[in-house]
Amino acid sequence: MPPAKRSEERARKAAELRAQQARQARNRRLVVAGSAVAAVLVVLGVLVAVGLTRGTPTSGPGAGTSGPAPAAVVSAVTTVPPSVLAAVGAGGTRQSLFALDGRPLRSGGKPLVLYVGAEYCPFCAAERWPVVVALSRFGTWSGLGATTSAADDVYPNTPTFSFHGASFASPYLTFEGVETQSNKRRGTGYEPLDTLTPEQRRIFETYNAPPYVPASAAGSIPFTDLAGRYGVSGSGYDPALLTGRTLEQIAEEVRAGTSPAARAILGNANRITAAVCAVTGGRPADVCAGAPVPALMKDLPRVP
Amino acid sequence: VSPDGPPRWVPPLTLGLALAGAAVAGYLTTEHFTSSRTLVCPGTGAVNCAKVTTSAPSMFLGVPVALLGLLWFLALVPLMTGRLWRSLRRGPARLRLAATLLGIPAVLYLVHAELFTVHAVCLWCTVVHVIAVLLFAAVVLGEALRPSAGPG
Repeated sequence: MPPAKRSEERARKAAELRAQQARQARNRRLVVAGSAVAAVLVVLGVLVAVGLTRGTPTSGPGAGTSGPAPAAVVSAVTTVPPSVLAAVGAGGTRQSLFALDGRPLRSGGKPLVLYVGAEYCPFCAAERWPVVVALSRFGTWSGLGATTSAADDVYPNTPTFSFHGASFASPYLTFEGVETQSNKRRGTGYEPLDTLTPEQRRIFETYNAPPYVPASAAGSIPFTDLAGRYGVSGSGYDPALLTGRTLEQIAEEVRAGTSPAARAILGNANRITAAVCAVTGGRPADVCAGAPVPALMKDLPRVP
Repeated sequence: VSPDGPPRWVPPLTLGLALAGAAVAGYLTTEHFTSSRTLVCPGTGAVNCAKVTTSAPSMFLGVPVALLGLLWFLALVPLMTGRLWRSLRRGPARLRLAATLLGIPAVLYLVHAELFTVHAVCLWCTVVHVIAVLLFAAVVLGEALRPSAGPG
């Protein structure tokens, strides 16, 4: 073999060797990289699997127990003097109702008010106060529960009522209150309570979604449907107003109607009262014609 | 594979992931400071962004972890550009690898906090965690696939 060809051959073999070494080095790096990624995925997978499957039904830390609402508390919020309600008016609250264009909701021949919430939810805790006050002007509550929002959520332990097991009797309207979960922790969620009927689910999924509510709030709770004409998504005021108070203290404040919390509760109650009057055809007259209801009825949202 | 850099798909993929991570972390940072104004609870107690973004583990040394995540993604953006991926200097590659590696213990800690301390999952946080892991995987594989040795 001529020397030039021999040198060419050596160069070719050296290049092949370098290429082979580069391939081997690359493969080693790939194995190391792949192993690192696989290790991360395995650790993450184990963490998620353990976290999601460990069935540890426990009470939330310090979560308030649910039980019947004290009679004095129920009495205080269901007999708020009309003069107090009139003095509060809208209570500085924003309009939290929105118009629905669905078919009228009726049950038992009367307009239906459907509330969907959960005991753990602090915004549901806030919203129940005005709902209880407002509807008490149209009928009689029985079996109202007392509970708190979850201890480990925002606005922990907000005192409130529970509609789980409660009933409402009225010649003017029907009320259905659904509390889907308790405030007792179960794994990553809370213990289930009430189950939506197919019709309640249809209403919830249809009217608690765009275009009626923003996409970010779709499916959220609390949600209230007032006879298919008005809806309320969320609470009409900040639950922080209730922080640090007991159920009894809030009830006393509501009856007096002077504290910021009471004004927010009664202002929202007056707005709900106006909407209910709109769907009951102004009945009962003493409620629907009394201040501030007529003025707030004019402020009700309309379907565009 | 480009002559000096990683496979062609690596820079745009990692840059896209860093930008997407910054966008979602930016949303979560906003949510951290304003969630109390959205007066609703999610339909299920297990998925609750407000609860997660306002929980104790959502702060690190007094700074919201969402904000730290946003700053982390923003710092990664220049490192994921094609120019720095193609750089033959070892500094950017080492920094890129170290930065994405730093995200992994943070993700593990935050997932642990969600599942075992806060007992709620924030879907947007999960998106950020997935992006951080994908970014780590893409960077590690991108470095390994370079024709020349990576940062080593």
